[in-house]
Amino acid sequence: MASAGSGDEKAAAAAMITLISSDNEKFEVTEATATLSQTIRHMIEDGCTDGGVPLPNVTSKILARVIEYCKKHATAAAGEEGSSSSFSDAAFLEVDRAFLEELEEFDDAFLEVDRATLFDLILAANYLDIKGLLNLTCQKVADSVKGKTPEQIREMYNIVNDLTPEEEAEIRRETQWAFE
Amino acid sequence: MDTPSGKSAKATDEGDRISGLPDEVRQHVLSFLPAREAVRTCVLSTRWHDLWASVPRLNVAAKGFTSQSSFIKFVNALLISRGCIPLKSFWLRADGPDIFLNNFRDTAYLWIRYALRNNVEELGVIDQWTVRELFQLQYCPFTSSCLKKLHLCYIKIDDHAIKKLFSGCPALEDLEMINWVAVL
Repeated sequence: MASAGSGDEKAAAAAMITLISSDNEKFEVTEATATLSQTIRHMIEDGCTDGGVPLPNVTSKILARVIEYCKKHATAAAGEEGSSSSFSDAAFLEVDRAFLEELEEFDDAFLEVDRATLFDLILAANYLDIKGLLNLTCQKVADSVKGKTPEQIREMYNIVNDLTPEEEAEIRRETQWAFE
Repeated sequence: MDTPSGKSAKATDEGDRISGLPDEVRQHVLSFLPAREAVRTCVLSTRWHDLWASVPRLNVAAKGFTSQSSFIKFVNALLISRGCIPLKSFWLRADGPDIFLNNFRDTAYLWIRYALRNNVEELGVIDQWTVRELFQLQYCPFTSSCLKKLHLCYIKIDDHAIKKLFSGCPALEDLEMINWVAVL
C-alpha cells in the first residue's frame, strides 16, 4: 500500500482536468481536486474527460466557488492520508487539530453567501455529487429553520401555502402528535 | 450578470427556491433537523406534505419534550406513521429532563429493532448519566446485515451481549462506546 499507492497519488495529483461552466468559462484543476466530485470521478474512470468536462448546469460564478471548496478539502484529504501513514505523536496530532480548525473556519467563511448563491451551491453540489459540500450547505439551510414555526419558515423562504384551510386542518389532525 | 441566464436566475431568486429543490435534497435538509421539526414541515405547502415520511435519516431527541410520556408518544407515532421505509441513520438521544431510556427499556428496544429492521446503517443510542440504572442493552437483540456503524453512550452491557453483537452484525465496521458500564 505504501510505495505504489503514494506513487499513484502523485501521478493523479499532477494530472489536470478542464471543467467548462454553462457560460463557457474554462477552469483547470488537478484531478485530486476534481475527484471530490463523484460525478467527475466517474467521468474520469470512464475516460471521457478529454477536451474538458462540460457542466451545463453550473455557472462560472458558482463553479469558481465549488472549485475553491474542493481545492481546500482535497488538500485536507491528502493531509489526512499523510498523517495516518507516517507518525502520530502528540505534536503531529496538534498540527492535525490546527488544520481541522482551519478547515472549519474555511467552511464557516465559505457559507457567508446570499441565499440565492447558497441554493445554487446546493444544486451544484447535488449535481456534481460532492458529499461534503452538500452536507455543509444543507446543514446551513436546516440551521436557518431550526426552532421556527411553519409560518416563520414560509415567510423566510417565500413558500406559498397552497393548502386549503380544510386540507391544512386535516394534515394537522393526522400529525397532531408532532404538534403537541 | 448581464447575460440572459443571469436575469432568469435573478427572477427565480425572488420566488420559493427551497421548495424547488429536488425531493432528495429537501429530504437531506430535513435529515439535519430534530425529527419533530422535520415532521412539522408537512403543513408548509403541498410540496412538503409527505416529504418527512421518507427522510432516510432520523434524529430522535428528547430535548424539548416536557415529559417522558409525551416523548414516548411522539416516537411511537413517528415510527408507526413512517412505516417500512428504509433508514440510513437513526440517532436516539435521551437528552430531555428526567428522560432515561432504562425507564422504558422495552419500548426503546422496539425503536432500536424498528431501525434495524429498516436496514439502518448508522445507529446511535445516547442516554444521559444517572445515579440510577443506566440503559441496559444486554437484552436487546442486535441482529442486522446492514448495520455498519454503532455509537453507544451511557449504556450498560455485558461481554456475552458484545460477542453476540459482533456475530449478529457481520457488516459492522465502526463501534464506538463512550461512558459505558460492563455488567459483571
